[in-house]
Amino acid sequence: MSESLLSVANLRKSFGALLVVDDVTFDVAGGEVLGVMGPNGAGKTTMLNLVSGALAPDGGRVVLAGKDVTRVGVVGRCRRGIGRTHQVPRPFERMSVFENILVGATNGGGTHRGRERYRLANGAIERAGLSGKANRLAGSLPLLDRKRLELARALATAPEILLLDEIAGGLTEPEVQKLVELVLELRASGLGIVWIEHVVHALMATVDRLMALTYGRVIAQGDPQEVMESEELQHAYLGTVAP
Amino acid sequence: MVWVNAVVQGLMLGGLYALFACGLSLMFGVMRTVNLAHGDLSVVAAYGSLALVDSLGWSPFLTLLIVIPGMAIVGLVLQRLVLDRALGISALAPLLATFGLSIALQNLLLQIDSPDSRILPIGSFGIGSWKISGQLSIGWFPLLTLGVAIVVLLGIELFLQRARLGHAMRATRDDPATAQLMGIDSRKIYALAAMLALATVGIAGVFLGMRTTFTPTSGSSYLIFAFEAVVIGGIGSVRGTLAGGIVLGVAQTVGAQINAADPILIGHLVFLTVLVVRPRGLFRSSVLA
Repeated sequence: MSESLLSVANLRKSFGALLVVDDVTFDVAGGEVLGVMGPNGAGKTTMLNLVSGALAPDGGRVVLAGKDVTRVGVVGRCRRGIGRTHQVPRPFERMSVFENILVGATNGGGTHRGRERYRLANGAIERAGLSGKANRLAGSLPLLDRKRLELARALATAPEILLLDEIAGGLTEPEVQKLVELVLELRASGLGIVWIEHVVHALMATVDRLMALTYGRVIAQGDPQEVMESEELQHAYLGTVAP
Repeated sequence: MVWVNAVVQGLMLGGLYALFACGLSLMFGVMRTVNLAHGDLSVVAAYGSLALVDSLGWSPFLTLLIVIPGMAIVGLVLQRLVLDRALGISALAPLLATFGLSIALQNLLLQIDSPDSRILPIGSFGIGSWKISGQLSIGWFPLLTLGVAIVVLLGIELFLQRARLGHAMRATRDDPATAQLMGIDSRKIYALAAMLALATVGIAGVFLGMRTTFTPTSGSSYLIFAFEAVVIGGIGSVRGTLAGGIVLGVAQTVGAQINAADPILIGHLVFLTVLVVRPRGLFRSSVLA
């Protein structure tokens, strides 16, 4: 691991009286996958929104490639290399699959001009396995293809940090396998990835480190196996009092 | 032949309606903003053109060179100063803001000018026509209006389908928050859409002012036709608006053949029928939520 590409320090966010993200700190290096686990409502998605810039934190810092981007909005962070997928895919419904992806390639962090954006878009389409469906209307896609599109579009913005929000949920086993391969491939190409997931074996097959959240707090972080076996995590999921 | 003539005249009248409805369609399509000051803004453009005609002796056509960019700037100011802020308050706020703007503009024009009706003078071009037969003639000016409408609306359609910014505009229309995640600044896109919309309002205002007389308060009476054209064609579809305008125009002129006393009535009936039978509009597939 070289020095960290994304560095999040003491991130805090509350909605009214409810503290949703409480003092979260983590780092992700290029070519590293950080898995994020935690029960529903643990603040995982809110944390991603704080990193992507969709939400402004109440406290803490987000540093991307050595530059503090805490005050940079979502557009600026996208252009500086943060890509994000949604748990529930949000395609541009009245545009074709190709147009959806082209929009990412044109406006995102990659090259904005000429053929380069077509190259980016085509690459992303191929990687996500959507080649045969480029001209379909995005709104007409079934769930799996919507998930693929979500990923392809984020990749087309040429991110350095990719934030994945439960992208394996609802996929069949062979599809999860393909996704795992793709994530490994992206990791090998130098991307830093933060992956929120409930499909545990997919996480265990890909992540370098694992972080567990409950009630907005990091309860364990580090070696995936150790975190999985930690009393804190078992307590959070099963609710048993640790012996 | 009487009927053929009615349809032909309707086509050309429809061009004017489509041109006029274009800006309304665009602003609603991209920003979900219903601009109740749409008609009044077109009247402002007509008065602007008239001021140039009176002071500089220009032809109204020539004033488009000033009126179009001028109205685009009005669009930018309107979006940034009024609509962006109103959108931040609630979904209803832009509607109320443009309603207020409509009243303000009417009274401002009354202050500056007078309630007297005006027209933009285009001389013999306004009454010239080709006589195809005894009962069928094609007016130069209505034909030009139709041509301009087709060029403007199809041009915008092409821009939305092909251009980089057009794609960004459609993405923002579908989901502004996700568009931002793609690196698209939705505020800029909104400003651009408002500029484009008001530029077309400028063209429409000048053409309306050349075709018929206007007063400071005629805007709101035009507005209903724009709404009807947009709804008939399918909300948010520029191509649909062109078709919707033409359907409305033909309905009115054919209606005049049926019942000369109230031609507008048939247009309204067609509009209401579409609203009941196909509320999504005639030219929009049902897939497009």
